Amino acid sequence: MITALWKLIVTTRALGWALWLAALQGLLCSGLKAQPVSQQQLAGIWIGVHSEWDTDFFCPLPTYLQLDTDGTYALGLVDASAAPIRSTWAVRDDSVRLDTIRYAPGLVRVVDQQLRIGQYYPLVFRKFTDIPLDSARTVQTVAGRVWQSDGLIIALYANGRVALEDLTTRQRSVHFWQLVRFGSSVFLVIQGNQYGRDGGYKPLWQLTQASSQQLQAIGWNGRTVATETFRFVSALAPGDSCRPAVFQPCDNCFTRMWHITQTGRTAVGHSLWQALKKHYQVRTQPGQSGLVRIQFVINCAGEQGLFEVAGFDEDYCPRTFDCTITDQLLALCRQHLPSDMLSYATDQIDTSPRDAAISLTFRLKDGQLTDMLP
Amino acid sequence: MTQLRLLLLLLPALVRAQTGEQALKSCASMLALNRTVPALHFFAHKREQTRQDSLQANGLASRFRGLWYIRQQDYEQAADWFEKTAARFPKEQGAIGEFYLSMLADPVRALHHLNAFDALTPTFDDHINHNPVSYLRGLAYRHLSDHDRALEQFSKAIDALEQKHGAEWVNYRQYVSRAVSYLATNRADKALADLDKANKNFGRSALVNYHRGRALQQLGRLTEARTAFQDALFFYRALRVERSHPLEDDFNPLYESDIDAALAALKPKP
Repeated sequence: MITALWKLIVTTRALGWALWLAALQGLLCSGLKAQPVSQQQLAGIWIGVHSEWDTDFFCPLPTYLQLDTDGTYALGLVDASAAPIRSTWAVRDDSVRLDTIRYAPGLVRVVDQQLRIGQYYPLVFRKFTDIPLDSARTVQTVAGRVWQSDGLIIALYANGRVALEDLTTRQRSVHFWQLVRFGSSVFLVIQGNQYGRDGGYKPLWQLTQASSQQLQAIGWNGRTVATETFRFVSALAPGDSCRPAVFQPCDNCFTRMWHITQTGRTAVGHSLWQALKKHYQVRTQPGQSGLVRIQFVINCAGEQGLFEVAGFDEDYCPRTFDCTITDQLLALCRQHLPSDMLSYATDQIDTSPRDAAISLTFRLKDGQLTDMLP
Repeated sequence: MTQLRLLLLLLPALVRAQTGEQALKSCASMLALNRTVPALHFFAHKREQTRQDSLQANGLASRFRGLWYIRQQDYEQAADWFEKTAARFPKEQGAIGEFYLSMLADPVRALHHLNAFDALTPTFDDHINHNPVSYLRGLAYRHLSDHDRALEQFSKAIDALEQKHGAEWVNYRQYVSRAVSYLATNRADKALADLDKANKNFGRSALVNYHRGRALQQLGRLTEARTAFQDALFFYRALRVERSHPLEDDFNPLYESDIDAALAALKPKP
């Protein structure tokens, strides 16, 4: 599909120029509206909140940005698991320079104590205030206990595992936790997935107070950066389960769109299509015509989940197909998707298995398969 | 364009499962990426939709909107935008017809739009991207298994160019498409003639050799058929790296397993 989009872009230069001009206009307008930042405003330590990939899709940032008044700059990880990148920074004529990167006016902004770098995929940092806490005592206070805020339950197992439960979506996921010192402060760092420490980070929480009955922490609560109060709920027994409640992707920054694995015009898709034509057995059912779209996810360990089936009639309006058709199609897709699907999905960039989002669309005529869309 | 290409390559890698070192590098890359404003919001559907809403309405932008929904597999919105585009910008009907055919496997709607596009200039076989409208109509009829009408349209596209400028000016894929319809109607000799012309225009094609094998098999020339299938397999493997797209021709898909199956079928039964 991307190839088709490229073909369109390449063959339609006029559109390309129009888009560039529109983007340029947007940049100029935003640049004119933005308040210039000063070196004084930017100086200090900024803690990563997230990168905004879309208006409703954020990926947590485990990094800090230290901008010293003497012009030195450091980009590092709050958990210090990698050596920081050090260089210099400056502000000149409303334009900010970080290392060798020079930003156009308006692309580095300070809004409500938050530093936003970039316009379309902005990185968001919050101003850091050092709040001293005894890390050894805090570990003893929080480990082996369940804590609950208005929107989140955090179960911190003594073995280093953590279960997070979003009280709005009721999604429960499993990761690893540790407390790390940053300056005199203590941060709760949550990373990894149900299988190991790979898979990226969850939002950072800077603990500001810890007692046996409640914790207070600064971090992203799903809506804003705030100081959240977590109340003590219960102590965890050694035998308590630490498993995800439902299917969990391995990547903490999972979105179907990022992990989509093209199958339509590939050898994998062709092999699946051949298997479907061989095994699909539904009697002719007049009126059962249109498109059936089947989507699911295979995580890095080969588990399948997040199933979705949608139907469209011959006029492309949403419709529901007979469940004997959709159930059989879903079962066959799960069964006959080649076992090397994961290696197929990863051989382009790296070799570690990763989550693969599968999306397949079939055209039906009176209940019979006629085509698989690219 | 280079920036967009880099962006396409870079963005998925940036959100890949990360360890500390990778997370730091990813953040550093994002800081560099954010020094400019990209023209298109690849992978940011909601932002891209807002940007597209702000664009001035024209045929290309409207067509692109439909394609955007195809990428999201939102077929209701995609078809809605294709129909809106065709109604408001009649010259776009050709491209819309091709999209219905290639992306939605809908030859009926494709024919409706291709016919409407062709009717705009009745005496001229207009081109849509790289093909005349008659060729695309032929593909739509072939999809409906109406090979006689498909052959009529393929011939309209091919013969005019062949007579005016010579067979070497005809896209070899068009000869392959006509040959496939000849084979479906058991006219292997005519298919073979087309495939020979195709072979002259592009002599390293797995697709041409595969269908040559089928034509020769239909004519009972099994030794030559086996050689043609073996040539197809050779070119398929040899040119795998050269191809920027998984298929040699989207309208005539060919996979290695098809060639293997054809060769296996020619092996003498024990």
